[in-house]
Amino acid sequence: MAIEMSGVTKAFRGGVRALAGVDLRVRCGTVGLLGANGAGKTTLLRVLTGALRPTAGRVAVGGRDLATGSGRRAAQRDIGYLPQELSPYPDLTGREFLDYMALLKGIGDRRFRRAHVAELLARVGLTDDGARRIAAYSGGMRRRLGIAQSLLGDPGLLVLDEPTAGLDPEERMRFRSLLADLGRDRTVVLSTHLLDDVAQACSTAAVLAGGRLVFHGAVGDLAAVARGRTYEVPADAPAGARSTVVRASPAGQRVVAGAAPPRGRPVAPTLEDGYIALLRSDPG
Amino acid sequence: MTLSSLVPGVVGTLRYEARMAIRQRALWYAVVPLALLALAASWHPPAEIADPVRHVGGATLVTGLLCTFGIGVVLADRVARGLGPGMGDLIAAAPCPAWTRLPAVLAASLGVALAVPLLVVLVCAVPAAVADGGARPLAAAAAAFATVLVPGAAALAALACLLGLVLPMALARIATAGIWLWSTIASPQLLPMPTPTGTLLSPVGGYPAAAWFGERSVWADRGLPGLLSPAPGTGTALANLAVLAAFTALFLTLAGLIAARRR
Repeated sequence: MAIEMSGVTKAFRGGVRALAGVDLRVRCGTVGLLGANGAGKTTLLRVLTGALRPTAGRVAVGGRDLATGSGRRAAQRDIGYLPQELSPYPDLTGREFLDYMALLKGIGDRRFRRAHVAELLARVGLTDDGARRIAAYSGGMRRRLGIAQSLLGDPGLLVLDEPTAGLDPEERMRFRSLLADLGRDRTVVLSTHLLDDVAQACSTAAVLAGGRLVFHGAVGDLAAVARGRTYEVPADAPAGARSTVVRASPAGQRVVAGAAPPRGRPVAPTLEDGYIALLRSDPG
Repeated sequence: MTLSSLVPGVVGTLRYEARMAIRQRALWYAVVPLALLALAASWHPPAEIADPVRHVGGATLVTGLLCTFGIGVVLADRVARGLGPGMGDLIAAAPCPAWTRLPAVLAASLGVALAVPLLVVLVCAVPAAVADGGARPLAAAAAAFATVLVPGAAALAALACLLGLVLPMALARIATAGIWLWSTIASPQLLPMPTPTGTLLSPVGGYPAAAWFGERSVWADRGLPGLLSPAPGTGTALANLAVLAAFTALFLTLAGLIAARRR
């Protein structure tokens, strides 16, 4: 499902400008949305789902303009959304919560809904806990329930705000496999701090800095931003005056620098290097 | 947008908000003791009931005065809790407009909360039915419940939800209780301050109770002057209900606007 954002700006009360003229076009596939805290990722996702109206600019999902009530509601039926911090109603069971959210999405057929909810609970490994109150769920179980609700109605666009936060390593691996499966036949926008998630699950990446879109392209192209600027420096050597340390270990440091540091050995850049290099050159 | 496309969202909201209200222990802790108090105050054996319909009207008035107080205090968090982390955005991203969802949230919670006072009113109508020798007082009890108790409870619950959005929750509950007492029993004859008590603006249900059930009107016959305290009658009772409906709509609209701005 195609996404078109043109000139999208969002200013909050007090003059805080979370998005500044963002242009983003996505036809299909899984897009990893990256950026530092406060870069505007969550705001962009909220605007994309119609939960928040932009101050200026146009957003269309599947050709439906979110500025109109009918267009927004039609698009929202085909959008699955997992907010960053989701605290589902603790007084409901997992199954009831999914049923409630399915009804809010306009899924009226009771028999279909029951089967669909059971299928989603199974997909996130919560079948045995579906009848338990959410108050008794662990953080990881709540996250998985949130992922399940985002899949209600088999949406053409999936908007996931830090979906792997709070998941243990095994759950994270399982989610990545689910994401790879989901990304085959729909558009997925995935906001994350974890570059591994992007490297493993996304075909393209978008980077926000200070509310502006500073990169949108293939994941490999983001790594390439640091080509010729990534070095490994021995632990006893200085990293260089104008370099950014990407990773440090007792053996040495991996740095992104405009010029080769003393005793620096050029290495092939990773996605992390590319991301650091991009933010370093455009700190927003 | 067709009406049928809105039905699942409204049905879901009514069903699950009611279920959550049923599971909210605080609701029962607040309402049941007040309901028992109302029952104790309004219960009379058949031999003591001279006018069965008037008895039912009076019982409804007392039950509403006591129970609505607890209901309003407990339901103050109904809208605010839907704006908790992530849930506000999730609901805003659903194709169910707030103008249909918000009244359903209030109706579901209020419907559950009002089950107890309804039971009290019906129980009080049983000896009246025995005294009357027919089911007329039971029908009068249902009518009194709908016209005397429900409109004021809806207005107070909507106000409580609004206060829950603009004040810290504990303060919103205290303010709700204070406003109910101020607008229902705090007469200018008792307090040196203007109050809606005894006027068409009061949510206690005195005008319908007096006009349609023969109950002695609360304060309205105690010499309060002014345009807003006319003698009870069908016209003034209807005016009182219209005022309460308008207040309910106003409070819900404001709550919806504030909830949208909060996101």
